[in-house]
Amino acid sequence: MKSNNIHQEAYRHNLSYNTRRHFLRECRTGMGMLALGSLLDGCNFFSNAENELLAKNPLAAKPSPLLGKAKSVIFLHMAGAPSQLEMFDYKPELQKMDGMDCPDSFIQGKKFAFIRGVPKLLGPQASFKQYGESGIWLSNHMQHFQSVVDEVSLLKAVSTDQFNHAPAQLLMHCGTPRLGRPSMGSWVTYGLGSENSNLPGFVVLTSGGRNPDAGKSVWGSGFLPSVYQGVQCRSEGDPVLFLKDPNGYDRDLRKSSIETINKVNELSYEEYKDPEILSRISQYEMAFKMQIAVPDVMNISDEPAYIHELYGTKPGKESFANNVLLARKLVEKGVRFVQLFDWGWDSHGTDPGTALDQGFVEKCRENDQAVSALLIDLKQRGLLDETLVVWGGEFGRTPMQENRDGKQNSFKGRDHHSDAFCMWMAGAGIKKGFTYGETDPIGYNPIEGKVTVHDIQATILQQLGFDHTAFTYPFQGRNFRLTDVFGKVIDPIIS
Amino acid sequence: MKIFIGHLHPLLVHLPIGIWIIYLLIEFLKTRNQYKQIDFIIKIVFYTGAISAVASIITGLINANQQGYPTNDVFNHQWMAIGTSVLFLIFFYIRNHFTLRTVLVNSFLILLFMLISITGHLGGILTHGEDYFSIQNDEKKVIKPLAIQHINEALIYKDLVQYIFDKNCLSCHGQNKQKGNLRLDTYDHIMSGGKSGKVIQLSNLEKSELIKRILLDQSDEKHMPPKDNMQLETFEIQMLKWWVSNGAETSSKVKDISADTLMIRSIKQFHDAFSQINDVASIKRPMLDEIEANTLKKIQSLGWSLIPLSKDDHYYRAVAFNVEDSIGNALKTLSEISKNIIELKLSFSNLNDKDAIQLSAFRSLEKLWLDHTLITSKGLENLKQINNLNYLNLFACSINERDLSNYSDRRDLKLVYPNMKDTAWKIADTTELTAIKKQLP
Repeated sequence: MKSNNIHQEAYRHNLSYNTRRHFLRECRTGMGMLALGSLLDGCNFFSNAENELLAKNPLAAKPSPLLGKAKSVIFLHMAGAPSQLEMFDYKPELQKMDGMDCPDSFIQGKKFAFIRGVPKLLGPQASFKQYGESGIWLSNHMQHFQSVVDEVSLLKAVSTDQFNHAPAQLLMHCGTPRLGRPSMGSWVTYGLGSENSNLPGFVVLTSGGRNPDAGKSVWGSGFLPSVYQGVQCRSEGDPVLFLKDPNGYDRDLRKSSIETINKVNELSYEEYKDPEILSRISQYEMAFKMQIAVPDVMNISDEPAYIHELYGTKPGKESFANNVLLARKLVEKGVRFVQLFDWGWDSHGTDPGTALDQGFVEKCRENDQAVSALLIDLKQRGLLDETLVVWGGEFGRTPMQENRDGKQNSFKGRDHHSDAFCMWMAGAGIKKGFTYGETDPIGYNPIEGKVTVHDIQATILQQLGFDHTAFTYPFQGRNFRLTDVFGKVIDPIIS
Repeated sequence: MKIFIGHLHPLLVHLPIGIWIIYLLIEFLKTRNQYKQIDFIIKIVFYTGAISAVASIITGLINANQQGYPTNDVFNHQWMAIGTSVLFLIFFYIRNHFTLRTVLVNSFLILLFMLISITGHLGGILTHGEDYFSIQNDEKKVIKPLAIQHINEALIYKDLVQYIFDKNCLSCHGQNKQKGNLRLDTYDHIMSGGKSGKVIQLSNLEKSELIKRILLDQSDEKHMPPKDNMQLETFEIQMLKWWVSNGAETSSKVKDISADTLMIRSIKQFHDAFSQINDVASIKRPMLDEIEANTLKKIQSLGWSLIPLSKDDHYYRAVAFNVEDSIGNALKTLSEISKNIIELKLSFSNLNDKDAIQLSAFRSLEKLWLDHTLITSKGLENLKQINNLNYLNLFACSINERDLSNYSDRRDLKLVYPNMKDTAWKIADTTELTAIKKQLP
């Protein structure tokens, strides 16, 4: 065939690819896709009602299904697992047994992260006294906490079933030691939204120079729309990276470019109905608003001097104290869930930094002042009535001194222990100055008032106004919940 | 599905009872010679009865596992039913294969009639309760639905707490039966306790055996009500706890409780569950109509975050974090629905005394946050008419104690204000703060 010009030739050439084979293939996949589309729709794959809601504002504040005392949560996670035996759980018996071989019955059939063979018992590396009207025992590492101890409910027999950091952290925050589930903060912002649309509903702050072992999954959104994932803010330098406009790029131009991008995104949402497009749209919008709001709220240098003195904060540095103060500032501005991770509590005793009589004491000192200050500050602002503060690690530490690979460690340290550890909660309808749970004389096993990680989660949800058994999200054909099929609200600590 | 099948039991049981009683009647008539011709129908009637009996037993067994009935009563009913059915079969077999004397047949018929009646009665006890079928307690003992005309006027002990006891506890701790020597049917009995002493220690939850037993884990032997019985609802537990911790007294009414407590929500849920009178929304607050969608949209477009306080009663918490316009104008627009606003959060807004004039319109307010605003004592004048206000946050405002003297008689008002000294006002006291500051390095 003779062609007039190169365009016609190309056109004809192109047509010749559309063979009968092509037609059949298109029929097969095309019809298949049609069928699949309707099938998936039937399985609620594109749940449109939900999407319509999301389209408006996925983070709009929603009422809680039940009356909740808490409007916000500050979860202080001591990543690495602090030693309960040097902070809250006073065991004079253990002191007497210091240096003795651990009885066989305690190690038989148990798995430890590092302990091998027969370890020696290690007495408390701190002195204890009772404080407050409640008479809660505290170690000498917690000088400031003494004065706020009557505000908290101390759980002394928390247990988990994971003895390594990453899975235990996942269990604590996502309700399962495996990856893929939404974190507590995501569940909460999904359920309640946020009262301030200029700020993320779920903010994560880390300190101690390291992210938690479980990585960003502990503030991930899992199968929930990704708009509910935690936003990690830095307490040093720019709080959120790449948020600043480049030089010569003004806010109006930024605004119109975001509007245009979102219009294009809305078109493709109309076409594909993928909820992640909506997440993207609202994230662009939020990023734009955050450009103003975040630097303002993340700036602690405006705080009065007495506040800095109270918390022990030094503006401009990354520190746990700075993060605690930021947590208060964020909650004050309507942020729903603030998640703090502080690395450095993994006191194995392999080096001075992880020694119970050196690095650990330093960690306690830093932690003690900031955390006590937080409770006082929240209280004086009237925020403690509606802010739930939770403090804890992912597990506890053994009453035995760690003997890594059978050899005594060079410093005093303890191995991971999953059966019994301490956590506390305060504010938002939690009993004041109350202790729940008791461990055996050496602090190895709970003997009374044992609670699990799922019980903690159920209690947090309850204080926010959720029935943890009814708060679900459908995914892959079944309803998922944070506490999976476990969890019981810890009624005794609720006032 | 299983539950559904189980629920067919109360329906099906009537068939074997009815049909087999007819069968007994026919057998009786058969013993009289003139009715000999009915022989042909007797098998049809018996077999129909037998099939329905089997169906009843199967559904009954399913139901027994689903419902929280007392184990003993279920046991009796279950084995009576199975035993009676077997006896019917034996009797039918004998009647068809042997010739018996009329007297013997008649006494068998009477026995079977009695057995089937007793079985039915035992079943009735399970569903209707022991007191349902008794003449002496004709009116007194039947648990009536909560019949309170005005929930606000209801007495907490007499109308609510005692109702919970009546409903859940009296079958074992009442007039007829007193397990552990405990009676919960009158106030005096409740207070005098049981075998192991007092069950309620005024204002002391931890020492009140009654509350302790209720809160114990269900698997615990001492948990009350016993494992297999109807359990208390969370809101009922909440109400009992409140009642005990507030002195277990008899005179206070629902309207005396402050509005924002778990207790009020529990009473609402309780009322929802047991009352036939639909005035739930009116607890503490008047009933309101739904707000027009356009009005809501207009308000929200100003940046107001409006959060319903509960599902259907159209009361809102309004938060001003995202209001971009001047707060005075925004409040003016919001005041269109001022009746509906119970909580108003104006923290960090640049509200000044002039804007505060708008606040006087919000008469329904119960909680107000004015922290970090520019308001002074002059602006606070506008709050005088808000009688329901029970929480006012003035943190970081330029207001001093003297400005708040107007509120000194308002003991129900919780003020948050950093320089307050009067501890009767339940505020964060600064003494604590200075104590801490002294300890700092």
